[in-house]
Amino acid sequence: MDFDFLSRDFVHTATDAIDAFRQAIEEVEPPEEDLEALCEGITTFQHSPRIEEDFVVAGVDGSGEFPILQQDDVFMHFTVSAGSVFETCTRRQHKMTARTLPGLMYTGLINLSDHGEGLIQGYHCFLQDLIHCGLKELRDGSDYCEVFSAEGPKTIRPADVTWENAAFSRASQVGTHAYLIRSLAELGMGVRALASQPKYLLLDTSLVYFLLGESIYLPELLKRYLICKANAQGTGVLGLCKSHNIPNGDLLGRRAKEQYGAAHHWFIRLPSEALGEKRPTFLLDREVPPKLGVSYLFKFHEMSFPMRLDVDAQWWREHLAGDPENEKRLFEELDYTCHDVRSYGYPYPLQSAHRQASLTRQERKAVKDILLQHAQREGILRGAFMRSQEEIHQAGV
Amino acid sequence: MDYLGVLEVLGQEAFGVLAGASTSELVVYARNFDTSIGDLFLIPSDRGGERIYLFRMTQYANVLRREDDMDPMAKNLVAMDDPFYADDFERDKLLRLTGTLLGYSEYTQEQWVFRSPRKLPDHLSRVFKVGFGDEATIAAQEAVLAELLHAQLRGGIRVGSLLAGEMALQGVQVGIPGEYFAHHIGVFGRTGTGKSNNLMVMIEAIFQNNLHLLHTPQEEWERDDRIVSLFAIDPHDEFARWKPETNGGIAHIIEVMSPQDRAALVGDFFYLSCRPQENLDTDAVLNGRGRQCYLHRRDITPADLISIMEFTDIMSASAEAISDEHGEDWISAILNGQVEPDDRVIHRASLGAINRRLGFLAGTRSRLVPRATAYDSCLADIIIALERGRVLDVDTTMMTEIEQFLLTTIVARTIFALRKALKSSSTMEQLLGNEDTDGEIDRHLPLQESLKAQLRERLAAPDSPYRTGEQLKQITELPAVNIIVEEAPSILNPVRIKFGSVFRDISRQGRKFGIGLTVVSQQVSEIDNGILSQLNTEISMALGNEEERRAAVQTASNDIQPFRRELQVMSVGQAILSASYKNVPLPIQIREFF
Repeated sequence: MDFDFLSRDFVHTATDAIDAFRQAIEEVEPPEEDLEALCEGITTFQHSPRIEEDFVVAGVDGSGEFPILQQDDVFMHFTVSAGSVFETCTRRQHKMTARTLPGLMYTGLINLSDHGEGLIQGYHCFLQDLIHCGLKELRDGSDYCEVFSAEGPKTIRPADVTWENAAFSRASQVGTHAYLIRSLAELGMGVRALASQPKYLLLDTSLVYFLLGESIYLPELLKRYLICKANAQGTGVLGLCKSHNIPNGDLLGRRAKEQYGAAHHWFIRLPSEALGEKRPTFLLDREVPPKLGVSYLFKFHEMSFPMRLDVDAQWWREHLAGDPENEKRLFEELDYTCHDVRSYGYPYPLQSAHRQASLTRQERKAVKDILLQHAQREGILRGAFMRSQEEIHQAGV
Repeated sequence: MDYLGVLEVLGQEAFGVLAGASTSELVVYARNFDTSIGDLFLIPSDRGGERIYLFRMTQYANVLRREDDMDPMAKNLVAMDDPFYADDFERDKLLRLTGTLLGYSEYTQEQWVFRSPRKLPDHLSRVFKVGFGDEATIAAQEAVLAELLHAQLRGGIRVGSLLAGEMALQGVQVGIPGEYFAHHIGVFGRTGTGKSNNLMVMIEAIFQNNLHLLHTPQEEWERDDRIVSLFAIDPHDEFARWKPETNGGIAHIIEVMSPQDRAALVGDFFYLSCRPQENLDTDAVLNGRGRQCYLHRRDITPADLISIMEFTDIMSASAEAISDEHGEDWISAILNGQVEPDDRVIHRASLGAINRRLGFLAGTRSRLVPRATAYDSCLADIIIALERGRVLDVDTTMMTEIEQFLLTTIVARTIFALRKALKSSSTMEQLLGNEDTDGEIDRHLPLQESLKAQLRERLAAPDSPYRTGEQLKQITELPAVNIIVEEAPSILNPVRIKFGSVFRDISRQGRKFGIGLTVVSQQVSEIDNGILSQLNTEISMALGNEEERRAAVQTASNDIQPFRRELQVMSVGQAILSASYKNVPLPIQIREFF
């Protein structure tokens, strides 16, 4: 960038932008009474180097290169998802030991095109490859139609859950498909991880349903399938969001510390409509807590920021409702998993899944090179256009 | 077994992969299996030829595949509240091994030839650990290694098993050829490293070597095969019996031989001691094969004393002058006051000093050299026994240190002189002389007339060790005679090894005459450099301090610099065998003699 950072005009522009930013934040500052009401619900718990009973905990994460190959309006996406399953072992030095199970690493190549059935066919194959399921199985194995009809302006029948009715953007809108494919890969891995019968299944995402009641959206269908399956076996699906999306959520943390002396190891449950409670005014236009869900704002360690935890309302009713000790135990057990030095303050099963699924620059390049070699052998690549200008400059054509 | 055969034995499961290779260091990344410094690895590579490289690991480190640095993790484990490290990274746990290339075996003309490390294995070659796998795999690996290193391992006197880390490879025995016992050997190690056990194992191996050669037609002997005689100084009187809980030492080895083998290899005696003969005769362990060890003053020449105690040049000259005048009775002449000082060579002060040096021989002080007028000595028996290929166990517990050195010196000097005389002779008469003419024996063995009289009789006899029918034997037909010099720094230090020391000459010329020394010491640095430079074989065990380790590295016939740290930490019985006739230093485990 050829730019003068020290120009007076730029400094003025920056100042104005920051003012606008501050105003935007202050506009959604929670009213004092809301803050007070929320903070009265602060619950503290003990730092948990030990737990009463060992349990199995799984974490999933995904990544990919979207797209990894492109020719005209045909896109090939590459996705990776990984699951990590651990068993806690309080009496041992390493505290958590990995369970080696088959199928906890998935790599998929998904071809999408706008031509004919190219898009639907791509997702159909992807789902089959990932969890050996089609839409029918997802529909029948979940409460999707029921909750869809209950939550939104529209109602659907099972027969309406078809590929044609599902909401898809065009294949050329690669950003949308990147999110969609990655979400499906992660949720699909979650389904796979349920085979290890974990007490908790950790997702590095929220449990929101933006389109529930409005459009049939594949990730939301799979999410319900996962949650229903998990609920049936007693597994709690926990959606962890490092970015809590609660306006001025730091004010809650500060108040917890200053007025209640809770600098760390605390949680607050946010009122949830799914439990028949009234949503706080400053959260009215947000998906916090999400539909069908219960959200907590919590903080484990002084050095970490408050995070949000979403759980399914049904699971909450079955396992936590009316039992403050169980609620506390959930956070103590989650805290226990956060003491691995590689991700202190963050559940290690998620970090481990992230490590396994994340792709380095070299790995992305290697996958790309393999595909390019095959593509060139098949004569379907024309020219050196798949390489970035920088690469071409560095390595030559 | 050819190159592909070796690959088949090694199998598909590599221990690691070669990451970096330079002429000074190899770097291997390996899986997280138990390993130890000194482990041996085979690296097949067919760049430029079908070769199996031999890599020895000298250092290793725990590393992780993904994290470059474990420091932050370790620090956090210490500093944070109740942190842990989940056990989920087995695949990421790797070892980074570094070490040196010992050399490589190349398959040419249907045999493996081992060469010095002048070449490197190919990039990212697979690396196989010797001693990794189940019993059958390890046995197969040992067989491969034995074949690859055949030329380096061979030798009739098996001193130990090749050591790979902490594992002694029983199927890979390391030997010293008999011929090299006519050269000089160094055995270095601090107290408690197993030097005595090493010598005991060596003694048994010499018996086995001699027995094997006795039953093998000479034309079938391998190159460098030779019968070995050993004059084994036994300062703790243990070689004959060995330890109580064991089968026994030399006495047992001899006892289980057939009568014919025993007669050929042992003869009348194997054990020498200053204990009275009647005491030895009633010792059940010895079974009548003990002989009282005693010399006569007439066996001692000035050179012997000059070699083992402080003699100034003037004193040496005086002693020589006295022996010129009084012949073999020069010591008695001095001790009896029959020597008159003069102003020319034999100064009064020098004479007094010599007299004082000889004090240990006066009266009845010495068991080794008892006062006797008539000549009576077992020296001729010792010499003849050594020339017949015997192993003699010399109990020195009842000798003073100076007596032990004196005996070693006299035996070494006498047999050295006899061999020189033999080499100068083409007939028995030329060797022994006759009534009119001195023989070569007179020229090379001045004084010692009494001994020579006995030797003349024994060497001229039909069963003379020097005779094949009417022909004199060549030196090369005689056994390699090896003399153990215990506490070597006492007589092989730079001050003592001056002009006139018999060991100076033996160290330089001994091998020409088939006579070698085995220099046993806790210290390398205290031994004369001239002696050290003549060593051809070194068995270096754990050494006490940095200076000694440095000296051992400098002395070794091969480059053992990579082993230097191990010289500090090697366990009992572990040693580095270096030899001028081997291309590679070999770590060995000397078995516990039982």
